[in-house]
Amino acid sequence: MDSGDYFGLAGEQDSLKSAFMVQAMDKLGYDVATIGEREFNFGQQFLLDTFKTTKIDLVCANIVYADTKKPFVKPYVIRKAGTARIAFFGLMGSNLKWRTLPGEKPLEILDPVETAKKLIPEMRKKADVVVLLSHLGLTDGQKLTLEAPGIDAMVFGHLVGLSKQVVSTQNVINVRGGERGQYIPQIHLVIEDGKISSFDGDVVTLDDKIPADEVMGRLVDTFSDALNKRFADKNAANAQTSANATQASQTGEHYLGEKNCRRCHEVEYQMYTKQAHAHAFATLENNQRDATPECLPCHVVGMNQQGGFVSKPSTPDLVNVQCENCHGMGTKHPEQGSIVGPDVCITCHTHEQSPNFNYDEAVAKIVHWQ
Amino acid sequence: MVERRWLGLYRYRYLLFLLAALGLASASLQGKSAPTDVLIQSTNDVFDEIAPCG
Repeated sequence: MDSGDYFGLAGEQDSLKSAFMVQAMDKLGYDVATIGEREFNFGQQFLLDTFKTTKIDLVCANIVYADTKKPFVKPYVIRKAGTARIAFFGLMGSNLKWRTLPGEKPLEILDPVETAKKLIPEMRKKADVVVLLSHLGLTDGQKLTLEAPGIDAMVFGHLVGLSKQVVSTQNVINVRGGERGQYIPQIHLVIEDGKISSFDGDVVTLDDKIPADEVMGRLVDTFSDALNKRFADKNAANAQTSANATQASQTGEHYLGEKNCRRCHEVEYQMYTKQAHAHAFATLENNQRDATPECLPCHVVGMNQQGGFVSKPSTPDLVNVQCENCHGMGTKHPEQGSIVGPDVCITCHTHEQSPNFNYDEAVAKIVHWQ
Repeated sequence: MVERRWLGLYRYRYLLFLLAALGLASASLQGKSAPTDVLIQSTNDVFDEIAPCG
């Protein structure tokens, strides 16, 4: 099961990655998924098309077309497990906003509590157990368990934090499985004579103790390599246009590259060249990620900025993490101080990318002053 | 001899069938079935899981 937010934010890379994510979920054997607000980032049709080729049932009971009030996807689905029939339904938080592309039919979010109250009796007639995949967040999710009786089990989704225990609250067995797909909450139900006779469960942390699935690992690598090649080919095809754009952008404020800094800061430069920042682009090249947009900004100078890195062929002097990444744009040099604090480091050394980042230890590795 | 014993059992086949059917019907009438184990595994916010930049 999945309780939502398996799509990225924007851009070609994220859309390709989002489609791949659903294919991977299908191969991993997901049965049912609900919708998070991020799933509309590439359009309604993209979402529907992505699931069309999978065996995963997409459910959400309270997203309807604004004009007809017909459901956008199936409100619920019933799956059989042995002799037991289990209804899975999804709900989206009514306070969540999503992207609507031009020309799309407007959708509406119905009140989750009222929707659940109407739907639960219908599901109970057809199933022994009713399970909610919630994309309501923590507070609204808890509110729902109080106001809409009849749900047997619930998986919290959308910024709900982590609770490593499976508990029963208001007779609803529930679990909160953290974020970023780093945990797998498991609810184990024993169903006898059409009723839950007992339950237990836990939350599995997907850390290094859980070996990576070899087949899935190869699939991810193949996808990531193909993604990088796609952008590398695009860069090569657009090299002339990029070169012209680069030239034009360098008439105003722009990044100068380390060679310019070296003219006055030779000692600092020599120390810097022996450190990891000076070889950051090679890390990407060695892993075939040197054209992957989500990786580049922290391995080059001024990516996505006026007068910054465009591609290696058109801006070869702006690869690696250089002086200007931390000290600012060279053409603005006289206005800036040179002292850099942790606020600069954490723009790249985020919790996700550098979970063990320690500022004092990191600074000791990049000393380039006397 | 062996053949005869088989024939003997064969003679009671209807009785055996009836007993089995009664057993099943009785369990069904009492609404009893074998317990079913169901394991629900789920994930949340999985998109950012694939972000290996090297």
